[in-house]
Amino acid sequence: MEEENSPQFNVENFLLLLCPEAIEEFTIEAELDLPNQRIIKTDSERTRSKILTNEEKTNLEILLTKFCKEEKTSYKQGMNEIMAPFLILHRQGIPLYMVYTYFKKFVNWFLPTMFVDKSFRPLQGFFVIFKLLLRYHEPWISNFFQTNSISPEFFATSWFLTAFAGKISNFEIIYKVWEEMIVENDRLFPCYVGIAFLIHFKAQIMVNKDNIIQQSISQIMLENNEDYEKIIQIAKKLKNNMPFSIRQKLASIDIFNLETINSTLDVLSNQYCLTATPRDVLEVIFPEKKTCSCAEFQCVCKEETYKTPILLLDCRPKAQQKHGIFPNSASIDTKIYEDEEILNEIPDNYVELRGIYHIFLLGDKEFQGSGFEMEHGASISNDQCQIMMENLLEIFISKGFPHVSIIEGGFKECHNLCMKYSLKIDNHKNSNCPYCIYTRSPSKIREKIKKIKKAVRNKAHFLSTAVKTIKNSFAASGDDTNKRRTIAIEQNSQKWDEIRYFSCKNYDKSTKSFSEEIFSFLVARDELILFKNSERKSERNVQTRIKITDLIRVTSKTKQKNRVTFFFVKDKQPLRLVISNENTPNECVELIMKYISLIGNDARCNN
Amino acid sequence: MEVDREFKIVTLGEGRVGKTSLAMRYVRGQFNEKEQSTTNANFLEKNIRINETSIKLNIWDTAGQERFRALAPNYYREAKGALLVYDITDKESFWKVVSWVEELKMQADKDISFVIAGNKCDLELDRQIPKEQAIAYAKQIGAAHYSTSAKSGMGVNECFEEIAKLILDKESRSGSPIRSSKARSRVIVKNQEEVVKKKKSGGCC
Repeated sequence: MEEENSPQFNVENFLLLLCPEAIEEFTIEAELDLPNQRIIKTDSERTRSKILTNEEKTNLEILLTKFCKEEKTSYKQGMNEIMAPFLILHRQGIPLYMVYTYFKKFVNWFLPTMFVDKSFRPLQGFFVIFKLLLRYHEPWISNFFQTNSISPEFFATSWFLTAFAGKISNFEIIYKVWEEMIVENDRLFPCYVGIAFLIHFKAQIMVNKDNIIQQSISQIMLENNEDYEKIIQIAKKLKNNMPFSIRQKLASIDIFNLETINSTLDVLSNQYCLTATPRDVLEVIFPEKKTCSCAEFQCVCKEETYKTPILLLDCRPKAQQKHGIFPNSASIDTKIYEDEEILNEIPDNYVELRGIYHIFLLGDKEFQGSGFEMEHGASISNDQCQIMMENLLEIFISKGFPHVSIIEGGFKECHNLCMKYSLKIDNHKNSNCPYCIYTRSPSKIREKIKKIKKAVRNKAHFLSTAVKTIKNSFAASGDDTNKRRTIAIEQNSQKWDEIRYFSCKNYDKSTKSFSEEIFSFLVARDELILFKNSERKSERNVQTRIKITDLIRVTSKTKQKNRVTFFFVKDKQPLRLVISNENTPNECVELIMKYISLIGNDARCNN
Repeated sequence: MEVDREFKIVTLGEGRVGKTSLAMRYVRGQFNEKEQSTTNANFLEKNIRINETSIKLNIWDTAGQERFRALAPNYYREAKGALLVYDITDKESFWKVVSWVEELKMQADKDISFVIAGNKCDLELDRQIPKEQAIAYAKQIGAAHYSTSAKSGMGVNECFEEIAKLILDKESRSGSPIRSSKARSRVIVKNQEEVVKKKKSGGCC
C-alpha cells in the first residue's frame, strides 16, 4: 500500500534550481475536449489514487490537458506520473500556475521530446545507452540479462519515461532524485541511477530466472531514504569513474534531437562497448607531457580529467608490433594468435586489476565490431587483429571485467597523434612504418603513389591472366575430389602468390542439407568462382562469380568448421558451402581474409 | 506440478481498457478499481490443465499506449497467443483492436492465436459496441470472442483458457508441439567464477 505522504522535504531549493526566475501568474484553465480526453480522465483518476483527493485529480486532468494543448502533443501515459509530485505541492500553498510551470520546465529540461515523438525514440536511446553503460560498469549483470534475454524495455520503461517518478512512492525521494539530475545537469543521469538501482538490488534480482527476472525488477520500488542515498552515491561514482573522453562523448549525445536520433541510434546500436579515444591513450603513455589542446580536442585541461588507473593492452600480433610500441603499454601474449587456450586464460593474468584499472584494448586500426550482440564472424575489414580484438573483448567481459574499452582508430590513430606532437614511440622507424606514409614529405608521397598505381595496373592484368590459366588448367584436368591445388601464376607479384580451389558442396540452410553435386570453389586474389563439375571433365560451368570486394563477411561454424558462409553487399543471397575436406576450410577462409586485407590496404593507399 | 507445455501470451489493447485488471483477476483473483496505468509490462504466470495437458501460461501484460507500439515487437516475440482487449463502453478501443490484429499479422509469429475480450461488460448500459458486431469481426479473423468483466470475474478464466486451447489445437493440427517460449537457455550467474566463454573461432551460418 502506498504511504500517505505529503512532502516533508524542503523543496524550495529544488524548485529554485529548477526555475530560478520569477513566475508570472496566469490562469489555469483548459477545455476538456481532447480526442483522448477519456484516457486523460481515467489516468488522472488512477494516478496515486490513494493519495490525491478528487479535487486534485480534477486539477491533474486540467493541467495535463492544458499541457497537451499548449505543446500540441497527444497525452501519453507517464506525463501523469511526473505531474503528480508537482501537483502535491499545491497542498503547501504553491499555486497551480506555478505547479504547471515547474512541471513544464522539468519536462522541457530533462525529457524535452519524450512525449512528442510517437515512436518514443528518445526512450529507445535511453535503452541503448543504458545497455552500453551496464556492460561497461557491471558486466556480470549485463551478461546475466543477455543470457536470459532480458531487455531493458521490459523493466526500465517507467524509469526513463517518468524520471523514476513511477518507481518511487515517496515524493520526497522523487524531489531528491530530480534535484540530483539538475545538479548533474545530465539528461542521461537516469541511466546511472538505473544501473545503481540494479547494483543495489542485485541480490534480489539475480536469484530469479527467466521472465520472473523482469517482473521482479519491475516490482522493486525505491521506498526509503537509506536505499536512495546508497543508490545515488553509486550512480555518481559510476558516472565519475569513466575515462574523460567517454564521459564527454556521452554528454554530447542528444537522444532528444529528433532530427538526428535515427543516426544516433544506428551508431549506438552498432557499438559493442564504449570506446576511448587516442587522446586518452596519450594520457597513459606520456603522462608527463601536456598534449591537450582544449580547442582542438574539445576538452578541459588535463588537471580536470579522471585519475582512474588505466592499463593499455597492446593486442596487435608480433608483426604489427614491429611498427612501434607505446611506452607504458603492456603487450598481450602474442601466442593468443596461435593457441585458443592461451586466449581464454588472458583475463586471468589481469584478475588483480579487475574493477580497479580501466582496460584499453589497442588494435592496429579502427575496430569494426558487429554490434552489441557481437555476431560471430569477421567482417570484411576485419583482419586477424580485429578478430582477436572481438575475442578479447568478449572474454574480458564474460569474465566479469568492468571498464573494458577499445581504442578508437587503434595504433594507427594513436601513432598519428604521437607524430603530430613529436612524441617518441619505442622501436618505431619512420621508414618501415606503414602509417608514416601520411607524415612523409610530399615528394615521398608522390613517389609512393606512383608505385601503388603501378602495382594496381599489374594486378588488373594479373586477374585476367590468372583466370585464363585456371580455365586451361581445368580443361586439362578435371579430377578434383577432395583435393586442392595450387596453381602457380608466373606473372604474380610477391604478395599475390596463389590461387587455390577447394572441393565443396552447396549447403541449403532451410532444409539443413547439402547438395549431391560436387562443386569446385576457386579462390583467386580478386574473385571467388564456384564451378559445377560436369561428367565431361573438360566442361565446367561457372555457377557464381563473386568479387572479393563484394564480400562483407565470411563465417564458419564453430562445431562444423567445414561449413562456410559468405555474405555479400546489396542484398545478394549468402553463399553457403560445405568444404569437402575438413582440413581445408581454415585455409580457404584464411586465404580469402588475406586477399581481403590486401585489397583493403591497397584501396586505402590509393586514397 | 510438472508442466507439459509452456506458452507465452500477450495482452494487447488501448490504454485503460482493463488488460492489467483481466490478467490480475485471472492469475491472482484480485480486482483493483483504481489499477495504476501500466508503464512497464507485467509478467505473470499461471499453471492450468486443459484435458490431460498441464500448461504454464506466461502472461505478458503490456502497456496500452502508442509507446508500446514502438517497443511491441520485443514483447510479442515468440508469443503463441494474444488476448486483444477492448472496452465495450468505448468504440475507439474496439478500432484499436482491429489495428492490433493487423500489426500482429505482419509482425508476430504466423501461428499466433487470437482471442478478443469485450471487457467491462458489467457496464452493459453504456455499451457502445454491439456484441454482434464484435463477434462477427472475431469470426472474420478466426478468433474467439468473449464478454468479460474483470470486476465481476465474468468470462475471465474462459478467455485465457480458450487461448491455451487454440494453441494446443494448432499444435495437434501441425503434428508437432509449437516451440515453447522457453526454448532459450537459462543461466543464473551466481558468482564471478561461473561464466567462462569459449573463444569465438567461427560462427553461425
